[in-house]
Amino acid sequence: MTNAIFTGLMLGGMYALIAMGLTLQYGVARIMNLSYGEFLVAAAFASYWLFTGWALNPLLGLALVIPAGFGVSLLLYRVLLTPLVRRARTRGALEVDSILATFGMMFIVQGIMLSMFGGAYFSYSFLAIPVSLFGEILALNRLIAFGLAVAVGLALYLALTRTRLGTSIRAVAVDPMAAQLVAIDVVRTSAFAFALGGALVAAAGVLISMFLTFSASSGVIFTMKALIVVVMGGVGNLLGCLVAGLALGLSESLVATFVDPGLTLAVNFALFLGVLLVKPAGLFGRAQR
Amino acid sequence: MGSSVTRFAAGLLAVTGAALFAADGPALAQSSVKIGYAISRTGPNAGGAAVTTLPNYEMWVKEVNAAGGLKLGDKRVPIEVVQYDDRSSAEEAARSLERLITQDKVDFILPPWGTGLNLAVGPILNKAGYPHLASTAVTDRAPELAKRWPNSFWLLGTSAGAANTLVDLLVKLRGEGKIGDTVAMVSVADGFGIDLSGAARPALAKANFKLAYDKTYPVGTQDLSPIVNEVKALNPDVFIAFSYPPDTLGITEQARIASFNPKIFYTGVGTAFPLFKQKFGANAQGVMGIGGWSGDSAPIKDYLARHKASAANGAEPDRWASAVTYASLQMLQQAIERVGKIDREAVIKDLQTGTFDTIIGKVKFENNLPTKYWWVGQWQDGEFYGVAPAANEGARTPVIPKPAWKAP
Amino acid sequence: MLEVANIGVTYGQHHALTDASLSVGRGEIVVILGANGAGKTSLLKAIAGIVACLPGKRVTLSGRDIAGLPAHEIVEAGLALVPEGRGIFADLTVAENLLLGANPKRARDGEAARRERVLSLFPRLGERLGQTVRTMSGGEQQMVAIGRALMSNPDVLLLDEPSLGLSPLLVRELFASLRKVRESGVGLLLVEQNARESLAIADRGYLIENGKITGSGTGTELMSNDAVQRAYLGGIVASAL
Repeated sequence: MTNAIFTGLMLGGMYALIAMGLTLQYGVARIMNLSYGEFLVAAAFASYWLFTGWALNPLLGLALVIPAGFGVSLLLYRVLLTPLVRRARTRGALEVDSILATFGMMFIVQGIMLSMFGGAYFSYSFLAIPVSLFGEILALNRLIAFGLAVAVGLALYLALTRTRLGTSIRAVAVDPMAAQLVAIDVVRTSAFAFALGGALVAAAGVLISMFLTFSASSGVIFTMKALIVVVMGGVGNLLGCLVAGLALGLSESLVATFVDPGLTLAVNFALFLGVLLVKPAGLFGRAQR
Repeated sequence: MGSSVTRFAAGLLAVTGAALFAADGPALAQSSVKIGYAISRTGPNAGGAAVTTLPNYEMWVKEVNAAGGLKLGDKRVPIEVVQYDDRSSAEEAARSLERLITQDKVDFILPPWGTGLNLAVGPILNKAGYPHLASTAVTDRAPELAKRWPNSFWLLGTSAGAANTLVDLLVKLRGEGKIGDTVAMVSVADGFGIDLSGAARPALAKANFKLAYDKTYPVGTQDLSPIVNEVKALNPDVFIAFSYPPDTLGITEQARIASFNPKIFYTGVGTAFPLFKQKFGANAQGVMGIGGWSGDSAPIKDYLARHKASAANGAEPDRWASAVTYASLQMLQQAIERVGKIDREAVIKDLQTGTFDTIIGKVKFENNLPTKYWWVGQWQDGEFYGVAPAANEGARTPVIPKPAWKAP
Repeated sequence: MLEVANIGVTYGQHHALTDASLSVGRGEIVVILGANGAGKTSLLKAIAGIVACLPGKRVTLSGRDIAGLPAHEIVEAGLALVPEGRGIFADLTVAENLLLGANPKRARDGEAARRERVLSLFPRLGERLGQTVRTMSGGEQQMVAIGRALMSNPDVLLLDEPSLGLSPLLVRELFASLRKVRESGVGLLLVEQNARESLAIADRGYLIENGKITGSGTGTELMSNDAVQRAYLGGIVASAL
């Protein structure tokens, strides 16, 4: 039982980690980024390359990959997405435009990865050592990823709720029209939020590469998972991300242990649908007026 | 740097589904042999195709053209390639093949990667009369398909063959007193896992093995530790996972972390990948898996060296279907050269009846199926040797029990 | 302080506002009276930079040209808008709304003192700092909106129908608060349908009809103006004054 719960928490922490960047990009910047998973895999490749080519510890690699994720996302927003933002009359229109634009982006990022690394599976071993926690044996790399997911989630949550910059990011998420009335540069703040999301997805990619096998084509899996967590937790809500991710991870691990591993997907979707039936805007979301 | 830029451009072209090499009208007096293929450069199959199929296609074309081309009669004719990305989709694969046949008018077609796509394109190749050397498809329908489509050759055999050979090996080892009765089996809930576990289940029962654990998990499961932990608690002698590459790596990693070390540890697709050795190093020792090759044979050693020199980043082939894929190309080449002209019907006939000298030894089809397969391999001192069927030339004696996991 | 000249707004073919000019002085309360659809809201939004204007306009604030600046820079320049429907962050708390109000750089110095002033002006907000604005009454939400605008340390405050949907008692309270705001030197430009209450506190006013400014005068002049009497005051009050 304890083992199932630990495993579930760690899996859930990973799901939350995957989803946090998307909730910022979608919730604040209103960009439904379909190339999200590709960016995650790109970060995983970057980490792989640094680790195997330069013997750089992935945890130290974070110091390079996170700023790179931020910079690339900022550039992407400025060059590709800002014209869409200026053109869009409503948020709905922006969402549709951004889906189309990032769908194209997905192929470009995938193509770059394919040409650089080929289509094969990649995996490396880092901190894949057992640690004993409350009498249960866990993999250290997963434990670290979980710890960082929780730490990053809480730190961001505090930053968003306790600082002026964070509050203004939330103000844009809540009401971009009103945000201009308090001297918030909505486009700039959205760009910042999008880039922050890019930094988060880069962090997630690095951490996940320590224990998951990935290939240039595996991005879509992560986009889907992130989307489920984001929608379930409430778009734009980091705490929702954390709770929804943990709920999915726990349910998956408990079902795999006590019922049948074949039912994990079914239970995931049942949970997802159940939440949306009771709270259509997600666990922590608010219905749009 | 220049090459990576061109490769980048090539990758871009490939993902947009565009043809890499434009065809320049019908060839006059056979100035080239046009060979076409649609392969999964993107999508879920891309990981397999990139390891097993593409490097072999590319290396073969490179080698043949370096020698001046295919020998047609008394002159050599270079190969011209037309290729598409089937995006891992059966519809797209079918469309691409139709295009290769009707628009590009290629002379020969190389098959896609994987069981599903080979089954999907079978009827098209049959109807158009192209030889179909399926070297990456494992299906129980192989004998039936070979009969229905006489142009098709199923080089990797049947899942029943894979499962029965494994169980035969277990029976033999039990007879030698090396293992006990309890078996734990997990399988991925997808084509490969369903077929293999479906064949293994009755075979294990018939051989009076105790199946202590028998569960499936969905494709793409990201954490397999609940399964490994539960299996470990049952303490079986034999652990069998009919898994896909990411799961194979995940299960092995988790087993090592949880110190789950049964006497036989067998995993599915991906065990024979060079990536497995790369990731687990000395810990690969004793792990069994599907596939294997005669790692000591000179042609295989030579093939390995050429593959490393030819493939991007010095990649090694996998130790199962890679060599079979390359051998299938050698067979196609020998058949074409023996016929001496582009006569697909005659080439099919030659493939059905001829004997071929390949890196996996002499091959002669019987009813369009080879007579020998490697079904169980084991990592021994950094090489994945075939261990069963034991009658195969070059079969190694399995190391039982599997040595304990080491700290990485 | 705020000088507006020749401002015009079109929505497609529809001319919402043509050649409007007006001014608001320091510590002055100016009211704009007009029927629904007369162009009042367009006028405020155009000044605040929320909707695009036709070329040729001139908008200066304390002598600085602010025409054509994006909305967020206009706030930075010292002009705050409380839009129709209040434009507050309904999902955030009172404290967060006030914090965001002080987001412009011009509002950072003396933020704490300003917050004290806002809370003394609207003591009820002080009791409910942690409450989510969505759950508050209409009057309280209006207080949040005005309080938030004041937190930006504005020179001029634009208010679009602040009395809409409030009970007569609350309206009186609200206008009393606005008078206090004016005492601190802030200029107020007020769009209203409640002519009686608003003219009572106004120094000057403008009449707007079909997108054009058709008249102006001091509060008392307008109060006794025939057209105003007929349109807004029911025509029976004049003698009483």
